[in-house]
Amino acid sequence: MATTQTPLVATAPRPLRRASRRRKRETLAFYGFLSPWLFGFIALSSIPLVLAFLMSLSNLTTVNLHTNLHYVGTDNYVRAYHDHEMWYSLERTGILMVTVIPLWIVTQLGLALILNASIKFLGLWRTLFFIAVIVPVVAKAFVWKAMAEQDGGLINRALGALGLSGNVDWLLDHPTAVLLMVLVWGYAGTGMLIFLAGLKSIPEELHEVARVDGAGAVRRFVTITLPLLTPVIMFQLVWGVFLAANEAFVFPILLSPGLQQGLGSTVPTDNVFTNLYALQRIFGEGDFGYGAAVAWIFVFFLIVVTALLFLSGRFWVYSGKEQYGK
Amino acid sequence: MTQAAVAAEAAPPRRRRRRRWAPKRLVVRTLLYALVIVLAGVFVAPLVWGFFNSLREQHQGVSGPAIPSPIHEHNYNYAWSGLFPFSHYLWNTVVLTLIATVPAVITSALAGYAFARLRAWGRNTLFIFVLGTTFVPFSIIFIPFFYLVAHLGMYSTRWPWLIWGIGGSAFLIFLFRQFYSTFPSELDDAAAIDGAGHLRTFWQIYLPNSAAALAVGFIWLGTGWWGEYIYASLLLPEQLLPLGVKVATGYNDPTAQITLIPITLAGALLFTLPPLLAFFLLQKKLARGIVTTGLKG
Repeated sequence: MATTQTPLVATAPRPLRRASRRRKRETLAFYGFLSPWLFGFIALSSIPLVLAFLMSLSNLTTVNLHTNLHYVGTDNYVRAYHDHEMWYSLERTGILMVTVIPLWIVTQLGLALILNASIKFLGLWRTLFFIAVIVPVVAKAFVWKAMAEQDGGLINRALGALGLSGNVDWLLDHPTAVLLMVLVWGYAGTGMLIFLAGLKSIPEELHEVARVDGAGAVRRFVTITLPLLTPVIMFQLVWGVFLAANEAFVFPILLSPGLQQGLGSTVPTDNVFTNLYALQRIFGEGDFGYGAAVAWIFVFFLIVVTALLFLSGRFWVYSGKEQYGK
Repeated sequence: MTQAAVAAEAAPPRRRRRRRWAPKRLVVRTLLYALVIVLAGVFVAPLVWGFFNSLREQHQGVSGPAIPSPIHEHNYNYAWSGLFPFSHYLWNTVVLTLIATVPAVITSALAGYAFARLRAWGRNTLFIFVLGTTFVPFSIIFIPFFYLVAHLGMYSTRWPWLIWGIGGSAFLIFLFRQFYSTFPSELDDAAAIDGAGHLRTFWQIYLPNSAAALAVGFIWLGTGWWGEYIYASLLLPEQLLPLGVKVATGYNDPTAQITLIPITLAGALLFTLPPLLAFFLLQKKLARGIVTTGLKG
């Protein structure tokens, strides 16, 4: 390739030619290194997303392309609009997020603050708080089923010991409460480490100066620690939205009361969140088209929530600039 | 220099204050340790409770005295071989975890290296796409993916796991990119002078010095795939099912139509042991090797 053009190329200054060839090689290497991921991105994210949208516009009812398959326009979306169960699942998803995400943030930040208080045996406590994250989903769920069981569960025993009514059927009557406990317990550890790293990055001198000025621990937390942690809090909020969205799917199935039947288990209505509702439409009733439409509505819901979070960030996330003026 | 000066200035008043408030400090410290112990107890309680109940009589559920009085340690034998061959499904889990995790860590390390070290057109845009994929919820991907898998003849095979593996993980790409950004650029120059290409530089210099990032990657992805439930229960036939799915459905008493809770807990805890062991083994590596000796010398 280069040899045929030898006279032409030779007129260019030598270093420039070498630089451009190196850049070309670098670009080639970049895309070569990235190719496995690019393959995955196209096969596992891009094509499925487009396909899901196309399916949501069709009356597909099985995995096979049946003969009377046709385009139904927005029918599936109109049907979803009139589907009370769909709206209820969306409401439950909203309620779950509004409760679990603040609980996560408070727990994660609280644990990180404790670990940051120059405590002895730091490694031990950190491991004990983190260990639940390592436990597989199925074991997380079953251990908490044993906690929440009406007859002899540890929660009811504890309530009984406190003199309260210890005869609550948590799994059947308050399934979302159990789910909240599992999620907070099972996923707070990761955020705790992230908050801990955030706390460690705050220069000690800031606290030192404030202390000399007579600011107490609470005052220092509110005026120094909290503002400097707002970017981490934002990250945890967005992460929480997606963690809750993805986990409020497996856990309701595994936490369903009674006989363990895997995907065939009967999930209490309060724990049927939108993505589980979509899955049930598809694999329970073979309604691929409608399920895909519900899933897209759920994606739209997530996009709106995330966008609102990011927009609100302008008012409360510390960006490092204006604070110096004060 | 300046930091030392600030510290030296700040030190005397702090010492004086500490002496004056000693009793208050003692109270605060005592409360802090009490709080830590209580919280650690709360976080460990579910696992301990699960363990206690795994030792009850198999039809007893979780009722009876808090600490089971005749201890049925035989439950673990029963969970291992009583209702289904535990080791068979354990092996399935090992295979699925390996084929989904090992390629993913390599893919992600390669991509992380590319994003951190190679300049090319479209790099920043592509990185936004990497981050974007973490925010695509599972439920929307799964439906068409199931459809594709069925039509490509990969239903009830392990191929999808390998494809997920090759596709890598956005979180790990991000992690490796951050990690490799901290490597000194002289390393690249030295390698280039020695005539090493990009692949060789990555393979012989970057990868052997990635112990910490590799440990995080294997733990993060490996524990995730170890416990993966939905994909496996929808895509795989009985003989290829991983242990997680089997534990979730296999411990029912076939005649009485009830779940044997103590046996289920025994099985679930056995299933938890391998990832816990891996975590404790790699924990030291995580703490030790940030950027290892090869770079300091």
